[in-house]
Amino acid sequence: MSITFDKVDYIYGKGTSFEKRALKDISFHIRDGEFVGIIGHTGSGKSTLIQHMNGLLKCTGGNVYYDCKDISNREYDRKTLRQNVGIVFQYPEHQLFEATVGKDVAFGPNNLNIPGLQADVRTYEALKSVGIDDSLLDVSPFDLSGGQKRRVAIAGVLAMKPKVLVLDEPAAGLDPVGRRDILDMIARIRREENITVILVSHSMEDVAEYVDRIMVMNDGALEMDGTVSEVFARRKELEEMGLSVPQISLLMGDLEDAGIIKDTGIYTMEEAVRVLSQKLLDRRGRNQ
Amino acid sequence: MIRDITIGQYYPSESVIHRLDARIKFIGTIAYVIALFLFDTFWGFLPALVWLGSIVVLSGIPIGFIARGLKPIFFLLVFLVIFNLFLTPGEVIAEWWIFKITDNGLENAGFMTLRLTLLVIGSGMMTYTTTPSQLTTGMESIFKPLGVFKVPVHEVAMMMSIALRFIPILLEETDKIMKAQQARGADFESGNIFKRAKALIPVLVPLFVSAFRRAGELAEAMEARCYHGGKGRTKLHPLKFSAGDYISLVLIIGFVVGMGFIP
Repeated sequence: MSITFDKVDYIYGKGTSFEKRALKDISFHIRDGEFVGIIGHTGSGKSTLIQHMNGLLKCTGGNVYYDCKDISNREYDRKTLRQNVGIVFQYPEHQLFEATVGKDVAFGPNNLNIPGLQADVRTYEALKSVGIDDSLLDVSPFDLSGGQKRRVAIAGVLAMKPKVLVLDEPAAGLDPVGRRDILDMIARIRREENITVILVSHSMEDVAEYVDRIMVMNDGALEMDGTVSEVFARRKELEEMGLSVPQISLLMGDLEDAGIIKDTGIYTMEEAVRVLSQKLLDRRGRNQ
Repeated sequence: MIRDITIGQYYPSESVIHRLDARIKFIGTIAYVIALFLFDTFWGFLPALVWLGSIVVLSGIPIGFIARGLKPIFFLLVFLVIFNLFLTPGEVIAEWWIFKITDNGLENAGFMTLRLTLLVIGSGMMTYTTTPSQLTTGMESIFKPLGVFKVPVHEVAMMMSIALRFIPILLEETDKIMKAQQARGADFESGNIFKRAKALIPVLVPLFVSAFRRAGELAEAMEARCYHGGKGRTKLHPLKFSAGDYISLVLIIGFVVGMGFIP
C-alpha cells in the first residue's frame, strides 16, 4: 500500500504568535513493501511528518495519498486508515494503561470491533512476534521491565495488523543490546508479515544497517531521498546538518579522499572489510 | 483551544507594572476586589474604571489579549444579564409576550455585568504581569507570619509553584498520549457522554502514571540538590521594596479609602 506526499506543508498554530512552519513543501512516494529510514535531528520535523501518514495531523497545504486516495477527503475513512498505517510513537511504553498485558494489546483490535476470539488470536500472534512469552499475558504491564514494556506496546500496534508500520525512535533509551534486539525484531517482523516499515531515528548508525532507502529531514524540509549508499556518499552535507555518518563510512570517506580506494557509499563493516582486503591482496599481488 | 484562554497566563514585558514587587500587586489586587464591593451606585465605577484603565495602559498589554481573558466568563455574563433583566421586580419599561423588562432589572443587569467584568480583568492583570514564580515567592512572603501557627507556608508555596510549572508539561503529555491511543483506533469524538468519558480511561491512566513518575523523579532531583524545606533557604532574587513600590502602596491605600467615601 503506497504512501504519497504531494507538496505537503504544515504550520503549527496558524495565525497566532506561536506560528511555526514545521513541514516545507514535502513530496515523496513510498512503495509497497519498502523499508525506509527517516533521519533528522531533534526538531527537524520527523515526528510531524509521520503524524500525517495516518491522519492525526491534517496538512495545511498539499495532499497526502494512501493507496492513491486523498486522505484529507471528507469521506475518507480515518478508522481504516489508522488500522492500515500503524504508528508506534516515541517511548510507546507510556501509553500502556490496561490491567493486564493481554488486555492492553487487545485494545486496538477491540476498537476495530473485531470479534472476541479473533481479537485474542491477534493478541497472541502480536505478542509472539515481539517475543513476549505467553506466561506474561495476565501480568500487569506496569510490572514488566523497560524493554518488555516497549515490546508489549509495539505488539499493541501490531495487533491491528497494519500494512504500513511506522516507528518513531523505537530504540531510544535502550542499552546497546536492547537496541539491537528491537531493531532486529522489527526487521524480522517486516520479513515475516511482508509489510512496509518506516523507521524514524536521529541515529544513522541504527538505521543504515536495516533500511533500503533513507530520507533526510532538515529544518522541516526533505533534503535527501535515496538509497543508503547514495545518501552516505554526501557525508559532507550530512555533517553540515549536524548528522553523524556511521564511523565506517567516515573511515572509507577519508581513504577515498586520500586516493587509496575508489568505492563510495560504503556503510557496513562487512563491505568495508571486503573492499579493503581486496585492496591489500591486489597490492601484495603487484609487489610479488 | 486551551491556548485561547488567556486568563492566568503571563504576558512577558518590561513595563512599570511588571517590575512592581509581587507582594504589592497581590495586596493591590485584593484591595481592588474589596473596593469593587464598597459602593452601590453607578458613580463608583468611574474611579474603578480610571484605576483599572491606568493599570492596563501602564502595563502595555494589548486590549485584545485582555478581552480574550473574558471568554471563559462570557456565558456566565449572558446568564447574569438575562436573569437580572427579566426576573427583577419593579416598574415595567418594556414588555413583549411573557417577558417584562423593569427599570430595576436593567439597572441590576448593567451593574452586575460591569462589576464582574472589572473583577475578572482586575484579577487577570495580576497574573498577566507577574510570573508564577514571582507570585508564589510574593505569597510566601506575605503569609510568612502564619508560620507562627504552624502553617507550612513555604511548603504550600513550593507546591503551588511546582503545580504551575507542571501544567504545560502535563498538557503536552495528554496530547501525546491521546495521539498514541488514536493511532490504536481510540475514538474521543463520537458517542454519547458516557461513551466519551469511558474513552478517556486510556488517556487518564497513562497520564497519572507519568505524573507520579515525574513527581518521583523531581523529588529525587530536589533531594540530590540538598533540598530540605524552607529553613535557612535563601533566594536568588530576594523581594525588595523599591521607591515605586512604596508609591504604589500609598496609591492603593488612597484608592480604597477614596472608594469608601463614594455613596
